[in-house]
Amino acid sequence: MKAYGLLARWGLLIVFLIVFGAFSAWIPNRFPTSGNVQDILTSQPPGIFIAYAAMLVLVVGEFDLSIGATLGISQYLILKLITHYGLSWEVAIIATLACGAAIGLVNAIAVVGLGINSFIATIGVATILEGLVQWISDGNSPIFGGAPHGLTTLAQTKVAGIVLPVYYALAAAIILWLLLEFTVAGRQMRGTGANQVAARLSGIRTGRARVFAFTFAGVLAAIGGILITARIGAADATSGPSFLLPAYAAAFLGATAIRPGFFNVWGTLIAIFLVAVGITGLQLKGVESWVTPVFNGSVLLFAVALSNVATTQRVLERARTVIERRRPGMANRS
Amino acid sequence: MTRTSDEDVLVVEGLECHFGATHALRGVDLTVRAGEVVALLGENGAGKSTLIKILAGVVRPTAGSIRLGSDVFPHGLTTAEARARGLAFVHQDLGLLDRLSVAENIAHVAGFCSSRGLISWRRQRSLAHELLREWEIDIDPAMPVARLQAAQRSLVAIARALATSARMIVFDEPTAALPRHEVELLYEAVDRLRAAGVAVLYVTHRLREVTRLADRAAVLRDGQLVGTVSVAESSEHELVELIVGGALHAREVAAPVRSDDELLSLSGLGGHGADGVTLSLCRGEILALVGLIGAGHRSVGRIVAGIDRAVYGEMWLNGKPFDPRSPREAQQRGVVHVPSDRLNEASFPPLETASNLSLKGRFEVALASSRQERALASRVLAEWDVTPADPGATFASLSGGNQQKVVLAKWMTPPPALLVAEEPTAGIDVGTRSAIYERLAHAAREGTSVLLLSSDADEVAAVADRAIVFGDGRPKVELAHADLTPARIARECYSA
Repeated sequence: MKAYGLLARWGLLIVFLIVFGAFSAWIPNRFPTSGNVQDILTSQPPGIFIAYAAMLVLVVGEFDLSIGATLGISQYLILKLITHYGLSWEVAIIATLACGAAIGLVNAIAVVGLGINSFIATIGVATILEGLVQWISDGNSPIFGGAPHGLTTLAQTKVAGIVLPVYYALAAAIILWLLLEFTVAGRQMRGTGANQVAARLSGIRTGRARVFAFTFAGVLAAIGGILITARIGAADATSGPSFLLPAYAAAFLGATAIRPGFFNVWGTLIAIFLVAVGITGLQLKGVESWVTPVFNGSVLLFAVALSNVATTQRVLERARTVIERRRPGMANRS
Repeated sequence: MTRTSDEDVLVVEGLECHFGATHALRGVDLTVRAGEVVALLGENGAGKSTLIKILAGVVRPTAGSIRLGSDVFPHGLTTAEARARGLAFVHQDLGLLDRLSVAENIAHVAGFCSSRGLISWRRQRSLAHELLREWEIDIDPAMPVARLQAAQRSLVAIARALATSARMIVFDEPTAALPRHEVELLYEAVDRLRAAGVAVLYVTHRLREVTRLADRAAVLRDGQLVGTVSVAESSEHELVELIVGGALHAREVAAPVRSDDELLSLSGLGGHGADGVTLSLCRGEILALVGLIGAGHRSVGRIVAGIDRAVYGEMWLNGKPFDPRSPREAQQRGVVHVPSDRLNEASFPPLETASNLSLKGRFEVALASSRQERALASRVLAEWDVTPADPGATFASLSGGNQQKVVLAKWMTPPPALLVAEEPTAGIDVGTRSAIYERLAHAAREGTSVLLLSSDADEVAAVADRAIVFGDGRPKVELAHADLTPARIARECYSA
């Protein structure tokens, strides 16, 4: 049981190391090189931030399907604010983050205030955002160039050979970890996700916890968008939605590790890199591009199946107690 | 439809059932004849549920035989066999598909009428219509079930059972969730069933229903059939004696000395099932509000705890007006509530016991540092004798008794001014029960007032200083400490 617990906790990291080792052995001249590792690291931070956003909302027991669109509108908005409205890049960043927070707040109002199922509410918001981004981008025309030096240095400067956004992602991980595990607010968010009724009866402000999660998620998604623009110095209005499902894949995969059965930061981070390493390896091996989504999807299914196994013991235990409470003869129903 | 009466539809002989060490049924014999209504009575845990589960094919008996009509099942029956032999069930939660129409609900059980491979909705509706008319049930078959009155829904459930040409219908507390003014509709339906020669086994807690409906009453106690009596020849008093048992001693515990300063006072409080409740509770007093499910005593607890909002009436706490808009506000004034639905309302099953203890509006530890939190949790778990005393164990992995200890410990550390405890020992083993009673008594001695919401006469007799019996949302009788015997409490409950 002890060994099983350890395996559940570190399993994902072990899989990561195995995948990394396997590709290193398979493509020794191109995979385990510092150039390739840097490439992987450089491309991940936007995906990491949006995965944090997905995870944070899952922690309070809700879904936010608008984070992809939020990332999309953010990466366009920041450059538009700078190139068209002449804002300085610092002000543009603040405005874009505020926009992300506002989108999160709209989600929160729909879900907490109006009581709309979060799945539906955030699909609605995402659809609206896709329309708005078409509007501000004059029908999805990309902006090439125009990113000020200050903005691009934020993403392109290297410290110890690694680009700054990787450090931002780590810093965000530490902040989220401290928030969720070591603050009252974070623990109350977990409580809200674990059993919203019990949380409310326990005196926890479940509405506030969920509003906070949605708003913070909006900001995290906006950071992801800003980082993309800062990295490539250009903005493409259509790329947001493609980030959504991989973010959820990472959050669910992450819930199989470190704190098995719970959405958690470090698991999510490992999951992102596991997927990235797998895809990079396959691409270096020359597989065609259709393999990427197939790989992503398979990993998600595998992850959730694995997570079910990791929590089976718990689930069985719970099911047993629930069955005992049931009214007699329920099974009689067809 | 009419069958010769006196025909035995169900004959149960020597039924035994063990669950591990628990001996749930000990040689139960029961006969139900066509055109007869037999009431099945007994306290919680007496074995009624087990007997019904066996009849429904959910649980297998350890020994004994069941005969349905001419078919004998020596080893219990399956769900399909029960249905095929015309045994149907109307449970308290009727098992209807709320958003579908009456006709469709009937069809899901009785089978769909098809025409050229597709469902013929026209025939389906006319079939439902005929069925409802035959049983004088005035409901439009096209109506979604969710739009019906509570009692009408029960009628649909009955009609659905009859659509499968049921020879016997088992009702499991069918009126527990019904408003008082609608129950007569259900009674009339049961009368029609009897007239049509259907056998009825009717599980209930309400003695008035027994006298109104039943021909005979079978009483279970501790898994044994203690008597089958003709209802016409027995008084309610005799039935209560049968239910709670003859050996009823007076209380041994001396009346506690309690201070006379008032902590809580309610005046004409109402809403959510409570109706004009006036009472007062002293510091350090354990006041039990007793009643059957639906009597309104729980509503009082929920209003006091800020879960539901009073519609009318006034509350004072410590002499100051008290009108909490949320559990959080009530907790800030020192009022805590322990719901009876342990897994759905009182706990966070997937989280660790430490979190289950600390997750409140206000944490006992400043920053939720795991070390401090775990230390506190370990101390509480040890103090409450929870096994395993491991703050990292998942709540769901604990046994029911230990879960209940954790839930109570959460709200009793630190001691609140007022503890509202809803059925604190429901479904709990005897050992844990007495431990919990001990805890409640201890807390009261230390100055905590307890509002005990209970439907368990033994529990009330064991811990309460005073009891108020509820019926129809109102306080009916107040019992002083000297009167708190299980028999007296039960009698007042059943007649309230």
